[in-house]
Amino acid sequence: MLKVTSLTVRYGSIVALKNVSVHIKKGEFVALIGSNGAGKTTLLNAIYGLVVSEGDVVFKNNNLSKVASHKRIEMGLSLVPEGRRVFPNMTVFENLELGGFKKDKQFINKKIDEVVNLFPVLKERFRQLAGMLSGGEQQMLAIARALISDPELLLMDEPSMGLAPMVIKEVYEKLSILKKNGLTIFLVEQNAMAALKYADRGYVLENGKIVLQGKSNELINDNEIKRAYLGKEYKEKWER
Amino acid sequence: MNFWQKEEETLSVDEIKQIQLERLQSVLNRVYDNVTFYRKKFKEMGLEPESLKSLDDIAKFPFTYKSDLRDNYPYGMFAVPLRDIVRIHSSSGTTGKPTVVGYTRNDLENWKDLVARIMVAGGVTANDIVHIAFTYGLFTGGFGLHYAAEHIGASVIPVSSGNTKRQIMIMQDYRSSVLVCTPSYALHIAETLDKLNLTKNDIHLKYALLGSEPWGEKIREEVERRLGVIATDNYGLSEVMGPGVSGECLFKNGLHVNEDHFYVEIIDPETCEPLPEGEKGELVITTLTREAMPLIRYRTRDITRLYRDKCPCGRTLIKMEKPSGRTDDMIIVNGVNIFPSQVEEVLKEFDQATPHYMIFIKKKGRLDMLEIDIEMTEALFFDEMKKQKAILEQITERMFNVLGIKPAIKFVEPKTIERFEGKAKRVIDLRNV
Repeated sequence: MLKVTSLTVRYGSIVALKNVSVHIKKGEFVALIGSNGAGKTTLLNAIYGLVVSEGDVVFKNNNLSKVASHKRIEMGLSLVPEGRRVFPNMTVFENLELGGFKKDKQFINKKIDEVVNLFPVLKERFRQLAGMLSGGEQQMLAIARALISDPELLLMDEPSMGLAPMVIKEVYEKLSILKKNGLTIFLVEQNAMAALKYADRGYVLENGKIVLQGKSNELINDNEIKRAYLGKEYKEKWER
Repeated sequence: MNFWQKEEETLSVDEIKQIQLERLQSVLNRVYDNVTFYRKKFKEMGLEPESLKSLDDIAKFPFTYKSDLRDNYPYGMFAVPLRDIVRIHSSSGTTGKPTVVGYTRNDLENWKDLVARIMVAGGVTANDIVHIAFTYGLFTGGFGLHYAAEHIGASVIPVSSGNTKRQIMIMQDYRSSVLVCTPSYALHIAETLDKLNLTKNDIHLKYALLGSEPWGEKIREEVERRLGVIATDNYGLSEVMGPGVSGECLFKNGLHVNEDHFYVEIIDPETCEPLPEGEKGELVITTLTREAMPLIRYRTRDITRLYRDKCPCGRTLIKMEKPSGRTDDMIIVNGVNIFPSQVEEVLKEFDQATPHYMIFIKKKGRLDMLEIDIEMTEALFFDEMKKQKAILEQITERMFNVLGIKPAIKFVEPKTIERFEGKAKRVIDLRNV
C-alpha cells in the first residue's frame, strides 16, 4: 500500500534521514522503532508531505512527490501527531468533527458514531473540553479524530508517549482492533517493546538509517535493538 | 504441504525487489557500523552505505573473497558481539586458516525456515522419516538439514555418514522415507543394496534431497530408478549460511533461490562486471538478513545462470541452474571441498617430500577416491623401506587432518613428475561426470 524508497531528508547541513526504504502492505500493522532523535518523526512528516525529501513515496501506486499534504489525506492517509495535539479548548465532539473537515455533515456523524463505539469513553465526554481529558483519553481522541476522515493508512507518532503502562496497553489494544477491522497501520515508536508486541513487522532506525528489519517476534529479543538505543559503546563493552 | 512460507515464496517481482532494497540498505548500514573490514574497504573506495539508492548500485560495492574470511580469522567478520553468537561452524583445514561462520539465534531461526522451504519443495512433509547421511560436525550440511526437518515436524534420524550396511538396515527397519546425502553416496547405497541382494522394494524411500557436490541428469535418473525416489538438488555454501540458499521443487527444473534472504548476481569472472539476467557466469551472493556474519558480494566461484520463469509449482523466486563448474581450482571429492594448495601446505611440512605432486580423483565403485602421487627426495629414495613407509603414514595422516578425507598417497621416484612451465595442471579428474 505504501512504498518508500531511498528517502533522504536534510535540515540544512544535518541529514536527518539517510536512504530509508520501507513498505507497508494492505492490512499490515508495521512499527518503526528507534531512540530519541533517530529520525522517526521526520519519516512520518516526509510521508505526510510536511518536509521536503529526496527519494520516492508511493501510496496506492501513486507517487506522492508532487502531492500536497491535504491531498494526501483525501487519498487515504491520516496522521496522529506526536503528543496528541488535540485542541484543548474545544469539546471532544468538536475535535472529532474537525477530523472530517472536508467531509459532509452526514458522513462525519456516521463516522463519529462508529469511532465512539470503539472508544466509549469519548461518548461519555462529548461535551467536555478536550484539555480536561487524561493523557490516555486524549490519545484515544487523537486516534478517533484521525479515523473520521476514513483513512486507509493510519500513521501514528509515538502513541505511548507520556502514558502509563496500563494506558499504553489500552491504546495498543484499540489499535489491534482497528487492524483486525482492516485498517493498515504504520507507527513510529520509542517504546520498542510495546510496539513490537502488537505489530506484525518492525524496522529499527538508528541515526537516520535503518539497521534492521523483520517480523516483530524476531526483533523483540534482538540485541541489535539494544545497541541501536544504547549506542555502539554497548557492543564494545561486552566485546573487547 | 506445498509451501513452507507461502507468502515469501510467492511474492511478486516488485515486492521482492522492494524487500531486497530495504534489506540491502540495512545490511550495508550494519556492516559499515560493525565490521572494520567493510568500513575500511568502503572508505577506500569512497563509498558509504547511502551510495546504494537502487539495487543496481550494488555493482559499485566491493567483492568479498574467501581469502578475506581467512585474513579476518577467526571472528573478524562478525557484526555482532560474541555473546550474541549461539553457533559456530567452520570449514575443514588445519593448515592455512579455516573459514569460520557464526550464527545468532535469529540466524538459526531463519536457517531452519530456509532449509525447510527447500525440503518442503522437495516433497518432505511432517509425516516423513528423514534419514540424514551427511556428516555431522563443523560441516553445515548435517545440522542444516537436521534442524529444518525437525522444524517441519518430520522424524529425523541423524545417521551421519559411513557404515552403509547399517544405514540400509536402518532404512529397512525404521522405514526412512527421505534420504539426505551427497549424490555419490546415494549411488553407493544403491550399489550396496545390490550386493546385499536387496532392491528398492525392500526399503521405503520416497524422496532424496541431494547436494554438496555437482551432479547431472544421468546420476539423477540412476538414483531415482535404483532407489525408487524423486531426487532433487539443493545448493548452499557454509560461508553464506550453509544449505538453504536454493533448491529444486518437484518439477526439477532449476533451483529456486531464497532471494528474499540472498541477493544473487551473476558476474563475468574475468572482467568482474555484472551480467544481465539469463547469462552464464560466476554466482555472487550478498546475505540480506544474516546478523552474525553478513557478507557483501561474496564470490562463490560457482558458475551458473539466473533466470525467471513461471514454475508450475507456484514459486516466484528467481531460479539458478545447477552449477556447471568452478572459477577456481577447488575440487569436490565425496562432498568434501579440497584445494590443491592444501596439499602443497602439507608437503611443505615434510623435508622428505618435494613440492612435486599430482592429484588423481578416481571412482572406486560409486564413491570418489583421492590419490596423491608425491615425488620423494633423493635421500629418502635411497633410504630403507621401513623409513619410507613411516613417512608415508605420517603424510597420509596429516593429509587426512587437513583435507578431511583420507587420500591414498603414493611415493614416486625423484624427477618423474612433469615439471610445468606457466600454469601447472596438478589435478587429473578420472571420474567421468
